[in-house]
Amino acid sequence: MADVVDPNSRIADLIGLLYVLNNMFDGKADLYMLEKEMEVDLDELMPIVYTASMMGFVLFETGDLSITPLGRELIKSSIKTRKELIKKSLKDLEPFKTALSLGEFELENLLEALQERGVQTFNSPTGHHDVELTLIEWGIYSGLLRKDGDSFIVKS
Amino acid sequence: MRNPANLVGGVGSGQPISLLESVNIHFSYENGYKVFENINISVGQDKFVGIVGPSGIGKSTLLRIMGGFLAPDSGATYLMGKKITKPTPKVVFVHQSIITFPWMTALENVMLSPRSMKVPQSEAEIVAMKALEDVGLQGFEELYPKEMSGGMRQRVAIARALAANPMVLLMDEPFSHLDELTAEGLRQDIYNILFRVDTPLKGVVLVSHNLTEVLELADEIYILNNIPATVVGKLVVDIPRPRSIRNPKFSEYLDFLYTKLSPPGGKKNE
Repeated sequence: MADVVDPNSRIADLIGLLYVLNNMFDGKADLYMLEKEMEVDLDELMPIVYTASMMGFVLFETGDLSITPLGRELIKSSIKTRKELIKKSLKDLEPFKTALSLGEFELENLLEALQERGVQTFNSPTGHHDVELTLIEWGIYSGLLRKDGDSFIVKS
Repeated sequence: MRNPANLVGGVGSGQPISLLESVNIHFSYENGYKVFENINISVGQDKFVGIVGPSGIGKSTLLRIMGGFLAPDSGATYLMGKKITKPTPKVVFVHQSIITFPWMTALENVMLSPRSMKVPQSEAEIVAMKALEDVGLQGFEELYPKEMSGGMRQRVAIARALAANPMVLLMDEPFSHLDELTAEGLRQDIYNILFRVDTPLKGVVLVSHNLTEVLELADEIYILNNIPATVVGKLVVDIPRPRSIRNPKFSEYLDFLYTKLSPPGGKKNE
């Protein structure tokens, strides 16, 4: 199974999660404690926990969550450096891996290509919107992609 | 710049020059209901000031008075010693709900504020591009709000406020519509953006019902209570940043706020 950025995860959630881990829990917390502290449901917490873990900013093992050196670097950096770090960590994750191989694409092309590769996350009634929001939230924010009309273009 | 920790029971810090100062504010609704009685709030240079109070006490109304959007019955607000009698682009408001116009791109949304100040189109565009970049939204210029998450939309709204080049930012519960995790991330980001970026911004006033949020952000906190509302306490928050709720002072301050915010005796809240 390919690693996929959860369509419900957000940049601000990543920063929030890392801040809370680092500043309130000295870098390490039980997921249950975090849930209590942040007053969020597990359902709301899991998308960013999985995504942050795949990106290498946290380590998630048997209910324990800890911030990695990369995660620490992220929250201590300027916005510019943060974008670079996020950009780098997206390259092996879908839908960005496929996006990178296409170079320039419209959403339908990308959805087809993801389907061919067996990525099922966006194969749903909301898939179109989910993939668009994910590309924008992570891809455009980090500077990996730019949008021109209906086309997404991988930046050099 | 940082004062030693102190818990003061009332206003009157006696700071020399205030950035924004509301003095002896009295205000009633048209039906005669008295909202504020002798409110004094002073925002010092480079200060982040929080205002807390029970719901219905008039926190948002006070913010409107401080911005010149609403005239008090008596008393006045001064910006750098100059009386404010009407809204000024130097004091800008960030609203509770995330206000972006869905038919406009991010850039057009942000350009509204320089355009409203009669800045020529081309210059307004440059200002707006810079504001978007400051809040981390380079590349979002041509996107529409519906293509963005709530957190990103709130950044657009903040960029629009910054594009007016204000000296003071008045924020009314700016994070209340976001879930707690998103709000936490945005709070940290916004604090850094506001006080790091090269802007004329000299002070922020934040109204919030979330005491933890205010303690995380503010240098000084004014506490409103009673009917009509008065300032019942002022707190100087002396915890190094980034602040942790695990710092023992955090719970000490929180206790103090809760004590001061207990319902006024005998009178029913609105």
